[in-house]
Amino acid sequence: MTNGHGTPTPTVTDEEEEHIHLPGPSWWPFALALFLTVAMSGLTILPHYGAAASAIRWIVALVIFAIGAIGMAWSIISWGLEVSEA
Amino acid sequence: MATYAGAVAPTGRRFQNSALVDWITTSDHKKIGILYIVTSFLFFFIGGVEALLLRIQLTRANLQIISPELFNQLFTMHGTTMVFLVVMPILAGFANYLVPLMIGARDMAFPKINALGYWFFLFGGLFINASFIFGQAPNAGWYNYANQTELQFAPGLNEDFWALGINILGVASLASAVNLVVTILKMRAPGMTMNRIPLFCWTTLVMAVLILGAMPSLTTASIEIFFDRHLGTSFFQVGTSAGGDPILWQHLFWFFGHPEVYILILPAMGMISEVLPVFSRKPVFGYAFVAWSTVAIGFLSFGVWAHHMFVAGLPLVAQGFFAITSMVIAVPTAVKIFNWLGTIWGGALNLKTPMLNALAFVAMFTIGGLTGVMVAVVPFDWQVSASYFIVAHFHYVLFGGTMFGVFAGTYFWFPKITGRMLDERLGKLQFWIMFIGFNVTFFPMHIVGMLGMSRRIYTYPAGLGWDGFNTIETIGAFVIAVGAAIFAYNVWYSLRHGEVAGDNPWGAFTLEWATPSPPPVYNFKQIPVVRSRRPVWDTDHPEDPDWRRGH
Repeated sequence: MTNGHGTPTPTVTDEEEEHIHLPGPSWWPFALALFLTVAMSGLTILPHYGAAASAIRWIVALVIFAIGAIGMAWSIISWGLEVSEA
Repeated sequence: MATYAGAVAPTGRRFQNSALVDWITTSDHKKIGILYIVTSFLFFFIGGVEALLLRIQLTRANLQIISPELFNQLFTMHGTTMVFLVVMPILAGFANYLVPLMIGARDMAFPKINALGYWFFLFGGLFINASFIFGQAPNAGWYNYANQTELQFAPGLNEDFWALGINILGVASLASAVNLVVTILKMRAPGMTMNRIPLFCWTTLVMAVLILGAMPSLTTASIEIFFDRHLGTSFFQVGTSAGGDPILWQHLFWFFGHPEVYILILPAMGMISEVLPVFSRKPVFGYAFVAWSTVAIGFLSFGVWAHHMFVAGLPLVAQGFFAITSMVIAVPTAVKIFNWLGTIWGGALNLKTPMLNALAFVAMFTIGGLTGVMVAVVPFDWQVSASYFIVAHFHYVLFGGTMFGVFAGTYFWFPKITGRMLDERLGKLQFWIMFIGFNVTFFPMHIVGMLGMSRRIYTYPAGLGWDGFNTIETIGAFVIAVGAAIFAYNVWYSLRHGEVAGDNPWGAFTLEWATPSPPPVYNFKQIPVVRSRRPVWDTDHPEDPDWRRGH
């Protein structure tokens, strides 16, 4: 038997045609990676050790980091709770 | 008898209305593989532009076309881009696409972790490259030696971008590696024993194990850089009472860095181990030797890291040890080359574009390997360390080797991935232009390196005998760029007008060729049962199947 393009197909199991299950799509891998990058961006602008830095820079860095960290936690939890489609 | 192809609606994997949403949310290993490959080629363009700017600056003596600060950022980002954003992910992309098909599985073991790996890679790459927007791209070289990374020498954000970006990319690599290991070990089709998996799967498996062993060393070390800079620790600070040592960075980096060389080359070796037999119309010569030499290379690669540090003042015993291990690792590598030559020897050679690239891999990688053995000799290494000889050596390995292997793989599997053939005439034109451009660019670097030209210098005075060679190298770099442009055009043209490929246009042997082109979302309607190393050959040639010979 050929597969329609002239190439014979190898032998396959003789069992009943099986139910094919594949995992569904998910936003959470994308979201988790995005929020990790946001968190890293916050860390990047964190003032260096011993450097004189304004309070605003500290606040901006920590806020960006916090957004990233909270987003990561949200992504991980939501991913874990995601209903696997059957 | 059932067939693989067929209209089966799988459950679980929904089809979105929006193509963009479909690609962003996909957990299909084939789509993720395509995302890796396309993104890597886009980063290849960026890294290539960086290389051209470097070459323009070095064309003649005393040029000041770009600033020294930008030059430092460009050579750092060129190396970082090519290693972490091009070669590693493009190999991961082919592995993602091909491994489940080759072993008769429907997907990777952890499809969503697989997607996570890709998104970490993409965002990590964008994160590091975003540093250019601030004019503060990493500038301490791709191996980022301490204490150039310490605050007193690098007060800007440059090294922060590098340390944190490498961590994002490190997580991406680990996610991909775990997936590949589990998939290959646990998801093989019935009869697909480890003694029968395609050699690309063997090399991918060893590559993934190397990532798991080596990458934590780099991610840990880059976190320590971050701590030094932000928390006042002194892991790599010289002369502090806390006992830091910049040499510690070199050990941690190269404990990752040398296995990394094999992470970058082994899957390409696997690719040509698939291409050479098909275009020689023979089984691969010495399957077991190729497979076990891969394992040997992986094992030995963790014992050679300090040959990058011969000029760092290692004890004599350590120098001797690492010199010997660096020479020993050439043995399993030579076994591979011997087996590839044995494969094509006496074969009915079909010199299509994939085969040309595969043969170029063997020749160019052999040159790079031989110069590798030369720099394993300690006194010779002292003379050429950090010179353009080293630049020539690793470009012969990573461009002459890996990238020609990747082009071989791209021309070979493009029909399977897209359903269309790449244009053969354009392919051969691109191959010869790139092959010539590559050698014109990198071979003279051996000579200027021997003449004393250090890598990473911004400019140089006239009268040292370097000018002519550097001019030739720059011309060669632009020839390579022409070849890359032809490749891009070929992809664009062939996707629209390319010949329809059919399922197995090359008459290849492994299981991915038993699926339609491109394969359906579920790969196989029914999981195949495998009886030899060349299952498609067996069904194509029922009068002479491999399994009768016990393969």
